[in-house]
Amino acid sequence: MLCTDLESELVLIEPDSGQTFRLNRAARTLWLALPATRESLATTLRETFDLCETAAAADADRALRDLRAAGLLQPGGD
Amino acid sequence: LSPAPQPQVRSSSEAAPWALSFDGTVPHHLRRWLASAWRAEVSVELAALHLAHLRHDEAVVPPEPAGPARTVLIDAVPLRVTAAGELYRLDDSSGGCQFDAAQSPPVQLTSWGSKPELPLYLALTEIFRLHGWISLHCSAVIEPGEDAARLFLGRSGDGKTWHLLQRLRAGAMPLAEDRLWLRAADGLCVARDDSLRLLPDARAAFADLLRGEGKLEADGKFRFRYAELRLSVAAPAPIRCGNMLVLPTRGAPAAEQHSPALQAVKALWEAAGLPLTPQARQLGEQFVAQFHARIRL
Repeated sequence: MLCTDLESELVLIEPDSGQTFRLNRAARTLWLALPATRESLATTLRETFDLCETAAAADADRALRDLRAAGLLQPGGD
Repeated sequence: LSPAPQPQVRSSSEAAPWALSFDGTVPHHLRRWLASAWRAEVSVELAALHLAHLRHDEAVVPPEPAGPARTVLIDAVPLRVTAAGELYRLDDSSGGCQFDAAQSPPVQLTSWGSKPELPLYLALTEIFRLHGWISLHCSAVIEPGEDAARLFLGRSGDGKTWHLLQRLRAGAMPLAEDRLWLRAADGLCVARDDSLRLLPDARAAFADLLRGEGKLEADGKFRFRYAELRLSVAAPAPIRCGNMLVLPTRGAPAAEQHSPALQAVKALWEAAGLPLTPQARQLGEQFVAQFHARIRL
C-alpha cells in the first residue's frame, strides 16, 4: 500500500489494483496512530479534536469499521 | 537515506554511463545497453556520483535469497523479485541480478544470464532511488524566460511527447522526452534523454521542428538527436523543477489542466514508479507528498 500524507488528508493507493482511498483529517489521525487499541484511538481523537468521550469512542468505532470494510485493516488489526 | 556519494574518477575512454561503473566481465552488448539506457548528461552533480558497480557472469547464478518471492510487472513483462533482509534478487527466464540495498555506494551489482537488461533496469532504478534520485516518467521543457523546468506527467499514450512538441513549437527548449532524473530532496532535474523518439504521426505533424528523417528504431519510433532539431536546446545542466502538469486525455494534444489532489498523487506515483524496498518507498512517499504540494491545482 502506497501511503501519501498530505497533512490535510491521507491518500492510500493499492498499487496492484490501482484502488485509492482518501482519509480525511480524523481518519488520517487514526491511521497514523496505528497499531493501537480501540481505546487509545478514541483517546487520540478526543484529545486531537476536543471531543467528548462518547463521541470520540463512536467516531473511532465507525472509522475502524470503515477501514475494515475497505480492507485496509486486517481482522483483529485494531 | 544514504551517506554522501563518493567521487568517481573514470577514464574518458571508458564507455561508462554516469554514476555506474563496470568491469571487464560485462559483455559488449550489455555495455552498449548501459551506455544507452543509463547515459549521463554532462553535470557536475551527477558526474561526481558513483552509485553502482556491475559485474556480470553469464553462467554463474548466485544462490537464491531465502526470502519470499513476488512478481512485478514491468511494461506488462513479469519479473520475479526475491528479498531476504536487504539482499534483493530480480530475475526472469533469461537473466537476473542482485544487490544489497543496505550497501554504501558504489553498490555491488551482480548480473547473470544472456539477457539481464530488464532486471538490471529495475535494480539500477532502485539503487538510484535509494540514494535520492528518482527516474521520473515525464516530458519536460524550459519555457522562454523561466528558470525552472515544466514537467508533463501522464501515462504512456496520454500525449506527453505530443504536448512537448507543441511547447517546442511555441518556443520552449526540450529537457526530456520520456524520462528525467529528479533529486527528491530539492527537486533538481537532470535530463536523461538526449533525443526525441517520435512515432510517424508525430514526426509528420511536427516536421517543421525536425532536420532529416530521423533514425528508425526497433519499436517503430524515429530518433532525432537534439542537435537535429530546428530549435534551441537547453544546456544539459541541472535545473530546478517547477510546475508539474498532468495530461488527462489519451492521444490528441491535451490542454493543460490541473488535476485534483488524488489525481495528482496518482500521477506522481505512476511517474515515479513503484519502489521495491521499504527505504525507497519511504523516500517515494516523502517525494509525492512534497511535490504534490508544489503542483498548482
